Amino acid sequence: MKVWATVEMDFRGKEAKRRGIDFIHDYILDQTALVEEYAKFSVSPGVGPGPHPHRTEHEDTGALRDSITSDVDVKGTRAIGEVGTDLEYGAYLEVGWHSRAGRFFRYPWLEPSLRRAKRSGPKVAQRHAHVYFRGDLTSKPQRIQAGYIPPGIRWEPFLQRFRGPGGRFISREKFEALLAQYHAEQGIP
Amino acid sequence: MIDGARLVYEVLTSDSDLVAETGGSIYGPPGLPAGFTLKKAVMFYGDGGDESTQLPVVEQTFTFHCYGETSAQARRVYSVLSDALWRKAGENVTVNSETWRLIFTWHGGGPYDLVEPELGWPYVRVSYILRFIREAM
Repeated sequence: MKVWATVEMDFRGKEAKRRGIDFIHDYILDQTALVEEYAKFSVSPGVGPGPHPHRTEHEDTGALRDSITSDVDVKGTRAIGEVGTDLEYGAYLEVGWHSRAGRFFRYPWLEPSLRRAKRSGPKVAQRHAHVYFRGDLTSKPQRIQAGYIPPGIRWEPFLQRFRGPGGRFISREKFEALLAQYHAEQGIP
Repeated sequence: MIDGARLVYEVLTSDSDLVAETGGSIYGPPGLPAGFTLKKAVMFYGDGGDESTQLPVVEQTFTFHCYGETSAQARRVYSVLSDALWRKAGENVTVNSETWRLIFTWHGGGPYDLVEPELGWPYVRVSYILRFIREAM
């Protein structure tokens, strides 16, 4: 005589994964749209930094606001939202610069928007979790947490530049070679 | 409430390697001093965070600009700055007769090799999150 005890679990993994990906996609879409909205507002005419601080011929045209775009890239279970501008002065507003007179100007508009949107992240995640995970997949959708969004900004290549001896602009390869040479001269391992 | 930038300034100026590398050219807000000519230097400013009025804790993001005559020199200043901040974790600084301990240093972004658009000066931009806690009186 045999006694069988059978334990079965129908996790429906594919369904859970599909819903998970949809959840991540929608969540990142919402968060990215929020960052874009906040960023655009912070550089709007009348709200933003205004014309160039020491060039009187400049006027606030709203060009930076109009240039801000966003995109969401989904790769498997990972979704990445990007918000940015192709205008170089937008990048310099963000990181700051010294004028010839020696004054430091800065108007960060992107990173504060990222932080502000991040604060509402748990609520946005909860709202989407209720949509995608309601029912039999989990009885406590409110416990689902969104992934951590590092409040970082990746600078586009146009902003990263290298200067060599004599003040000449040099390529990254040349810079790496000069850095190795400099370290060798200074005895830095 | 204490000025977080003041704490960072004290931490940096108490590091002999960094002072030797920059010749003491370490500047907090609002930026490089008037009449500054390009040389190895560190400039930093607070980039948001908490200075609690209730708890003796300061946790802020600080952004550092490491200058040099070339990008390679700026990188060297950055590496010395980075070493200094890691090395100083756990050490005390005294400001306004209060003793504060740098509890941890957390990398917050960078390094990025950039060039000042108006002046053409190369620098490395890097951010760290620093947490200080006031020692018991």
